[in-house]
Amino acid sequence: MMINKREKNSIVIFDIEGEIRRSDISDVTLHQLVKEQLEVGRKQILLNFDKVDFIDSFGVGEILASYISTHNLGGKLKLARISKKLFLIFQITMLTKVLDIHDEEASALQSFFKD
Amino acid sequence: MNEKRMHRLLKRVVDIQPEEARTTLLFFMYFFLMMAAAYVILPLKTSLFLKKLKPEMLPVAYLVTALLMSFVASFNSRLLQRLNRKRYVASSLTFFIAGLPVFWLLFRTGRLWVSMVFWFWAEVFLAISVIQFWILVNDVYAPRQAKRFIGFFVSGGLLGGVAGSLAASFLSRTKVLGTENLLLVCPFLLLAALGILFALPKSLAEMRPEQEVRKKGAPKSRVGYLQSLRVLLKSRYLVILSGVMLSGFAVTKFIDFQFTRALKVRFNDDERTAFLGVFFTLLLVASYLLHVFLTNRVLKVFGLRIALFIAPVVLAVGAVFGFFLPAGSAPTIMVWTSLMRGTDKSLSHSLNQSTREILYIPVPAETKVKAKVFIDLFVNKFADALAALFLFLAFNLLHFSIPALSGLTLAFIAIWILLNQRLFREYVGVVKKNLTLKWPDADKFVFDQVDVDATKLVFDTLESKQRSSVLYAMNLMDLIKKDKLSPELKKIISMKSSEVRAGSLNALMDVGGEALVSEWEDAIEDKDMDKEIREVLSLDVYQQLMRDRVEKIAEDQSEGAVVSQMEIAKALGMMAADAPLVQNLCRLLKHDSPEVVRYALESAGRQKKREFVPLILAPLARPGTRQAAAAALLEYGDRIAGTIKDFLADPSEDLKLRRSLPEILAQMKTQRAADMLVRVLKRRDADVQADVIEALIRIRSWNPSLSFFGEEIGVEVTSAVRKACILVLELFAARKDSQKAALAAEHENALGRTMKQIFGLLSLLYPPEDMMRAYQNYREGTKRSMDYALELLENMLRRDVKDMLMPLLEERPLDEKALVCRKILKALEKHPGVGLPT
Repeated sequence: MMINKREKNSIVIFDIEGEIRRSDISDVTLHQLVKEQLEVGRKQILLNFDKVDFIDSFGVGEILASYISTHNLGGKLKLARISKKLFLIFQITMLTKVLDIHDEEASALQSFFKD
Repeated sequence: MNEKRMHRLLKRVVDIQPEEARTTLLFFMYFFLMMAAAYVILPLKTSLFLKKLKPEMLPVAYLVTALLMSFVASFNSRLLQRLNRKRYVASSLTFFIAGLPVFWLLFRTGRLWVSMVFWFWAEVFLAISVIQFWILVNDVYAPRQAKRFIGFFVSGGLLGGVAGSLAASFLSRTKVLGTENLLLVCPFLLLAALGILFALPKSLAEMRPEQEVRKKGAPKSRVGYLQSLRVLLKSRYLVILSGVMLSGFAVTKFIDFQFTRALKVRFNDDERTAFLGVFFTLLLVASYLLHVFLTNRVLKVFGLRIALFIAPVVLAVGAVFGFFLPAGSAPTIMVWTSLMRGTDKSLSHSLNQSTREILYIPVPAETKVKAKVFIDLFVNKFADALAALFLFLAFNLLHFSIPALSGLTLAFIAIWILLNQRLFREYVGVVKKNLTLKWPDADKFVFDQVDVDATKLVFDTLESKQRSSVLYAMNLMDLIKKDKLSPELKKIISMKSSEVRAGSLNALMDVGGEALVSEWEDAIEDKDMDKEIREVLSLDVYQQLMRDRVEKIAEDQSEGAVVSQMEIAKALGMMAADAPLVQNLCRLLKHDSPEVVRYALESAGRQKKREFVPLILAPLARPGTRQAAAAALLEYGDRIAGTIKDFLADPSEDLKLRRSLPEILAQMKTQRAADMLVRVLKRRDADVQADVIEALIRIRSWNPSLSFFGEEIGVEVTSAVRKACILVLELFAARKDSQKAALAAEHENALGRTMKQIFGLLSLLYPPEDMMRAYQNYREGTKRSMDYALELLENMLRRDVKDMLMPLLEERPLDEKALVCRKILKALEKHPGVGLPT
């Protein structure tokens, strides 16, 4: 798994590539990257799942931990461009009730300003 | 005077910012002039009344004033609706300025009714001038800003009162002008006040009348008594506040009546005006001294709660003396009534005036003006009328003596005290209501919305399908046992996908599509199925038969054995805890593959054997297995809290592992786990301290019934405040150097985190929800909600914490904050052991 960071309108975007699973991680996890941003005061975070094929329970834990850390500081964490299959699983497991998921990056970015 | 100089001068007497200096000084001068005029009119009102009428007519005057005041209040509300603030106050002032020479002319006619009308006119002036001043203050200042200046403005009013009284006393005693001619002095004072009004901020002129503020199409709000009464009745707080005012005003009226009656007996007309002049001067000097030396100190040291009780308790003691007065001794009665009136009025002018204004702070702005006008005009006068009725009955029908009237006064004081008690409780509640939660507790929100364990199992089941039908079946069984296999989920799980990557076993065992789920489902949904599998797995024969195979697979280092090892790791969790094969988990827990370790951790958590605990702890240091290790430890419950604490406190352990442990203790949510966290907190280990504090905050928010020792947490609050102060000083230093912008940003972020820690630590000792509201509004709220957050803290925190923390929290420029922080640090050096008793 590879995670690249970029910024747009002071929103931190993480482009994730590959699979978020426990067998495929380096020393730094997604949650740690998010926490680093929170520590420097960046509280609007978008996870771009365009190139994510699959996630396992570890990945779910990472996303939820990132969500909790961000929202407990009054920030916002959103997801964009997740695959149809993954979205369906998210729906069935009720994750869509918690996570704000957008089809496109642009609409996700706009939504930060509407909140 | 230039603004800098003005600020330097004012700063000596009031906590003020440079940009606030001009407006605040103008308000001070305005109130000074208004009160100077009021204290010329006040003795005139009484003296001119008694000159022509008997004191027995006073209850009639109170009653008539109360009735007529309802029309004044209604008219006043209409003016407030139609005129902007400056025009509203200016018109009133013009009316009063014009009225004074008219009365001067009328008094020359010698008609009796003039005294009665002047009494009423003076009452209206006294009430309206004070109300209007505080309305202007509320318009210009934010609640907490106003609170900072209330004392200063009250001082202005009192000094104005002293000046007015001295003028009245001097001019009447020396016969320079004579009593009635004093009426011609006041217009000059009011004209000066009018001039200041026009120099006040332009924003007041822009403060539109209420009817313009109303949105287009909104129904026209009705003005007048009934509408104001409805507003008041909707708020329990305002009803109690009215009750407090009513009982307090009634007590004042009883004392006033006794005093006026004694005056009539003791003095002739000119002596009386001169005495009143001296009396009011002394009264105001006493009020000013009380205000300077008592008000702020009482509010700061004891808070609003005690401040509310001082006046009624002191007056109750005074009223008791009334029972022992010798009947017919005019001088003694004069002294006693003077002392009672002096005490009542000086407390009313100083402490009570400040507390009265503070009590309006949590009232929403749109209600405040209506409620204030209604209470200060109507309730005040209604209290007069009520007191007048009692006095009429007491003296004209029941022929009460002074001691008997003291009994009546005591009864009203008792009601006053009881209502004060309820008012304070409501006050804190109303302040809290003003603090909305800016964001919910995300942990709670997520766990309320999602079954996280079941969700993870769904993903693991899907993942296992790609690897092994054995793992898949076992996960599926867990899922069905959790009753989470909905039709939609079945569809997803049974997706025959090209997306499924072929694993070595998958290729052979993927039977594909619906069939697998349906086949398994029928079997697995059989309630006895799980029991039967466990029984088979625990059979001695099975254990013996499988021993060699399991050990062989567990020892296998080849990559191809990983899936089989995952299957075994999962299966071991389904066996009885005493089954010999379960011991193989020790080897699997140390496996290199995080996938194998994850299943081994799940099984170890199910078996809950103590010897596994150190082996479960080790994977906490690795990101891929951290979540599963934490989940396994949580399965043990708080019986391993002590072991976790030992690892957490041991500096020789892996730091990543140690930093994961506080969160696990927090998730246990029990008192024992909280106690362990506090034990580590007391060690002040810099490596894990922040994590321990964070965990304590979380455990408290999950379980608010947990209790903590104030002393232990207080020391940490002090330490965090010290850290915050140092960060403020470092931030101040970094900001001065443009090259150090990055460092300044770093300090600012660190300061933000420390402030969060302070509020979090306070949430261990005070209701967590209140502290969360206070923190969120302090950090993210509007100026107004930030004020409410500070107000809540001021009324909840203990004095020692307040003294240390509030100056740090108050909004002020960084240079001033740095000064304040230096003072706090010095104070903490002198008293390093500041802590909170339990």
